[in-house]
Amino acid sequence: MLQALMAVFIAAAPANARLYAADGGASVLTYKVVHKLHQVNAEARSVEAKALLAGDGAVQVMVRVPVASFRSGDANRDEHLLEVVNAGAHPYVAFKGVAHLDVPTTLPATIPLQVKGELDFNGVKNPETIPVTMEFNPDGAVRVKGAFSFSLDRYSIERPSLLFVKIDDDCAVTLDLVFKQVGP
Amino acid sequence: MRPALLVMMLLARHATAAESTPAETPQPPAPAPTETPQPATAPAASSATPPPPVREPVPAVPSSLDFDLLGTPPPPTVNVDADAMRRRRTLLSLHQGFGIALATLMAGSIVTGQLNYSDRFSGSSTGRWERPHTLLTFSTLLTFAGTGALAALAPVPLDQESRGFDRVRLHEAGMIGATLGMISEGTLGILTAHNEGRLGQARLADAHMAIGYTTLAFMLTALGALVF
Repeated sequence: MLQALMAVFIAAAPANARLYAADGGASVLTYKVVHKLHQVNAEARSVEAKALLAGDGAVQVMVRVPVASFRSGDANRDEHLLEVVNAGAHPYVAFKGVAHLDVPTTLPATIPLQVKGELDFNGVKNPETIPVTMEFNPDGAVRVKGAFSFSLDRYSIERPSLLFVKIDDDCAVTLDLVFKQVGP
Repeated sequence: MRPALLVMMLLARHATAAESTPAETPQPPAPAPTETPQPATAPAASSATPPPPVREPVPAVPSSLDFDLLGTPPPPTVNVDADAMRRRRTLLSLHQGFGIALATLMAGSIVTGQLNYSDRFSGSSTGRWERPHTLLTFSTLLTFAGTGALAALAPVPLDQESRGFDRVRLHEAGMIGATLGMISEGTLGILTAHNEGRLGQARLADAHMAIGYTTLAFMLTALGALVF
């Protein structure tokens, strides 16, 4: 019965909806945190992401990254990250969002977009809005660039300290994802 | 439950009809299929044309966040021992506190050592700095040993990949140099004290002072590697 229902829903999908998946080799997600004495930049390339673009311009997107995949150039610091974000219990950081865009009629096209959704980090979910720019390329690929920041305290992350001075509460994230169409 | 499912199927069917033939009058719903579900776009059976590339089925687009495009995440490739992580953090936080105390004591040892050297070999040799220097150096040695033990006892809960020469490696290299300096300092300090009044004492004191400053340089390098 469940399989039959799923078949009905899949058949009911708009004919021109398109499913995209991030190209893992070309996509990167970075974070930056600041301490009084220096700042730390780290990047993750093990990015899983999919986006569903409906014919009416409705967009669903989901991004997931293992927290252990971030590299700051200092393995000891990356281990500390796993401690503070409780990676044993919550090994992934994930974002799920929706948006609406005017589907471009000519390519290439660049479209700014506000993706409203929910960030799931350290087992805490909070609403976030991520401004992105979508570059629709003639080869069918879509490059999504964006940046946003969030409060570490809001995600119950005990901020690490150096010389008894904690890092700033603000964590800046940038994303550069290259999507390729995988569904009709 | 059954009426709710029927309503959902009716809505889904209606959406399909509206998408494909908007001008047509909606047809009454057909009963739900009972056979094995088929993909939305089945390839045409033709021997002349190659089959189209396999595409993933596309789910319907709801406006809420009640969707899951990625499915269940794979098990993490890095297994994290949470207890070991907590223990490590506690010990390394203490290590940091001890390190700051050590740097302060080391600075005190160097200052009193220099004052003692100046007093004994170019001053009136009152010996007034000898006791403070001795107290500070023994305190420095004890704190140094405690700081090192805290770092050594911190568990390494992850299989560390090869990480090259990073800040922590520089910190460790600096502290290995400082350890060698501490051992030399202790030995030379005792030798210098036992050579009181002999001609070679000044040369031993010179070496003791030079190694003291070198040890301080190693420690500052180790500290700076983490701080800056």
